[in-house]
Amino acid sequence: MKSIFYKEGIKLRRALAAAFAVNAAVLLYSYFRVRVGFIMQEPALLWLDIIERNAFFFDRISVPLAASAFILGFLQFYPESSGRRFRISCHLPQNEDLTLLYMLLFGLSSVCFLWLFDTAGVMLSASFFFPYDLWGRIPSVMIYSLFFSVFLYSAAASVALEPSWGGRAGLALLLCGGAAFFGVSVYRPSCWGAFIAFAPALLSLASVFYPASGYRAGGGR
Amino acid sequence: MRVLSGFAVIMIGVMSFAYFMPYFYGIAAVKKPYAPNVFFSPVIEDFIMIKSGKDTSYCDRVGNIYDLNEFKKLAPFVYYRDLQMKGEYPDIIGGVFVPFETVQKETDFISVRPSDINHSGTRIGLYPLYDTKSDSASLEFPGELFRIKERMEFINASSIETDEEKSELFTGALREKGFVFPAKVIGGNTDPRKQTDYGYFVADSSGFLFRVYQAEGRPEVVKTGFGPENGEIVHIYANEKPGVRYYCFIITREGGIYALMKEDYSVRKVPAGNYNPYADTLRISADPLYITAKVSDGSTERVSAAGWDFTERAVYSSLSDDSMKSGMKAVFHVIFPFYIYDDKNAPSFPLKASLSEKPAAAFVFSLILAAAYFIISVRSGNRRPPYGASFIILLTGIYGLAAVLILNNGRRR
Amino acid sequence: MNSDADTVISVENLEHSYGSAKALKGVSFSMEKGRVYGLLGKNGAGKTTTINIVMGFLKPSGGVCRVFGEDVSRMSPETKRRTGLLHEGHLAYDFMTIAQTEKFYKSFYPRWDGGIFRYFMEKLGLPESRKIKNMSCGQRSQVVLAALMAQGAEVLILDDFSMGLDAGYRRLFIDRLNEFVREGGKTVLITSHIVQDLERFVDYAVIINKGEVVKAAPLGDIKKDIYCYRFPAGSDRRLIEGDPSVMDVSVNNDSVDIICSVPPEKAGEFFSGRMGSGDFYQRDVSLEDAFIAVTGKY
Repeated sequence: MKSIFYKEGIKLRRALAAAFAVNAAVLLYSYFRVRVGFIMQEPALLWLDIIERNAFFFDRISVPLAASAFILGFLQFYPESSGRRFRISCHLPQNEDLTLLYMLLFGLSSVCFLWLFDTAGVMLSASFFFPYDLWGRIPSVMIYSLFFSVFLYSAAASVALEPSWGGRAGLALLLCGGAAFFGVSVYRPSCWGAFIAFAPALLSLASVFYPASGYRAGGGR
Repeated sequence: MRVLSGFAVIMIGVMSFAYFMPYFYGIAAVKKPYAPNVFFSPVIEDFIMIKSGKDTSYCDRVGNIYDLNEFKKLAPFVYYRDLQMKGEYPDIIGGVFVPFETVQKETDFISVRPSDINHSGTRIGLYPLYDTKSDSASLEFPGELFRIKERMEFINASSIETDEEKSELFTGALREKGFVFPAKVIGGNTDPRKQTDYGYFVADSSGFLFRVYQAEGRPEVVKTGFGPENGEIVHIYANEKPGVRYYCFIITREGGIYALMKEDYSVRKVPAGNYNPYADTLRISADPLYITAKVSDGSTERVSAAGWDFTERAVYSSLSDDSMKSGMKAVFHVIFPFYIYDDKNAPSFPLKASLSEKPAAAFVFSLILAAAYFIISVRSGNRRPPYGASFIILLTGIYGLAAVLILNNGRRR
Repeated sequence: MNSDADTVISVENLEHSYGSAKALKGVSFSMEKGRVYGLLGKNGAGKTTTINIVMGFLKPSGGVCRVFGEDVSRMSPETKRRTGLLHEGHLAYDFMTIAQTEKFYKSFYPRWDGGIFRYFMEKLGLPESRKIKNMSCGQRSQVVLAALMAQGAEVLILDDFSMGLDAGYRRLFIDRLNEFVREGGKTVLITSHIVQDLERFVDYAVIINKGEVVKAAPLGDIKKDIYCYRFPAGSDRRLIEGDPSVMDVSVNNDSVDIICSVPPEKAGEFFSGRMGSGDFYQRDVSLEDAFIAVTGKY
């Protein structure tokens, strides 16, 4: 696993650095936006507005997080499919499914770290402006962002890894609809909802093994 | 792993098709749902209605047709402005003298949707407490919000610190009246643009309802006539209209609708028939003579009219047409063995799943699809009979077929 | 050619179709330990299909291929460790540097010989921090070959090693292979579009044409009973083309070569009156000549 992580780290270090930088920039921007709001307006009125509109005050962070996950998935696996480079990974002297699993674990860990970074950043920033009643709900909102990001990462990985263009189109068509299961309103924690969002995220991780199987069947010729 | 991963891809496809296919089918097959708009006429003391459609008609329950002018005169509490403008507003309505100013003051329309009930539990429990006897002409927005958990706490929004003195003062006042912490339901109008403030109506842990408000900085607490014997409170609707007879409406889990009267804080049950607050829409219209409650579940509507003694005077039930043409609805339930849909009224996660209303027919359709797929695959010279794919199609019908075809054809290309 | 105990790779009755077109119609051959085999075939003959199956990246519709007794599509990690693959185009993780490449592969191969890798890299003369994607085709091929040699694999399967390489790097590649393969007693299966490169390296040739093995023999036997006669440029060859003994007529800038099955003692009589002026001499038959003779030019 260490070697696979080493390889993936070399491949993705610049992309990861860029992702963290972009997310940090959006966090900072959101922080200052909220800060300006508090300076211009009565703080209690701002709290009430957020509560009554059921709005997430750092909602912009979900966009760079999702985009980062999607791009990471693509950048991690497109180099593997271009020129059928994935054949090298298939022939490494270990179980092929394990090789792919380690690659996915790397990507998944990266997405999770990015999510943790964002969630911690949002909670820390929010604690300057809001009471616990508001920022304590952040994990219940952000958890859907995590599942959505995992789903996007896996979908991008699957489509990028698929050796044939027709297969890519088919996978994209089948997977894109799954994104519909992550659109939830904020502040409504729900075990059932979390499960409904978790299921496609988990399935999407498993789906990456499908295009990988195409390489042993002559794909990418 | 290939089989499992292919299954995973197909399952995601099935889940999304189970949402999108019925959705787009519904758009194609939908027709404008029809339900008459029903009022209680204080003039004829019976129900009148507007039937919309190709031609709008105005009639009463027994079938008498009216023109618009006549109709307006039968519903003076609804069209009082129009009538007044034409100089046709009658001072005597149903044998009672009701001046125009009284109608303006005492007419009210309230709507409670299932989402109001379902989502109220997830609202963040912070509220602004205005001062009902503020020095200025309009209400001053407070610099803190309160919550009622183990005590009533005021959080200063600028410092995010608790105002201990004020918190202790209000907590003590509540305890004095027998309030049992924490609060279960809080109802009130938080709108900073309002002109009057009644404070908040708070249900405590033992099921009693209290009114809490602030007057010149001092807490005022009143224990109302609502207790646990009336039911478990799930929602309180308060719109602070000065002229009406009630402070708020209280809705219980059991479907009870109670008005909290201003006169003596007593509670009076509004006759409304069977009401499921989690699924039905409630509309109450109050006027100087009657209180009318409409309960609709999307396909049926029950309208109940009562006087201000809260005895039911008349009831009307109507059916609304389906939102889908009947033939297309039948086809829907045959081709879609199950479907996922949005339920905006759901308490938390908005997606729900339902089985077909014609499960046997849907199963037969899926069986036909699965058999056709199997036979065509075998005949086209596939290396192995597609048992797995056919089984998936048998279980998931058209969704599975679409997913399998897309996956197989994509790879084949 | 076959000895079960020494058989490293066995290909048995391979069949494969692309839609309705049959690409392989029952290809069989086996490879003994310590020998170097060249897989030759024209475009569309089934060579690429065969090599993809042998590498385990294509499932045949019939037949089986085994390496060390294991089905190639389900090789155990240990068998993968013993088998080195060179993919067409010298596939490599080109986002890695030379140093990173060594560090990565070293962890997978307990028999990794760093000395070999360093030897290759010293000859290459590039800094360890150079990324593979910033190298030329030839330079990349050296890094890939170095990693392959250093792995300590017992079997090497090299798919079209010459792709993208100029004459210099092709020659260098074969030089290196000859250096390390013979020494290590490795078994090699190699393919290339440039047949003359293989002649410097292979012991045996397996020639595939139209999905079937048409000849599988040591290099000497491949060339047996095939002769090449060189005529001056402009020689009239119309009478000789179409003769069943003539396998190929090649027109060069200053000569005309006739590949045929006519032995030298009968050549004079055979060509008399058929090739114009008549001055000709016999030259050595190359592997490419033999290949064309067996498979034809078109």
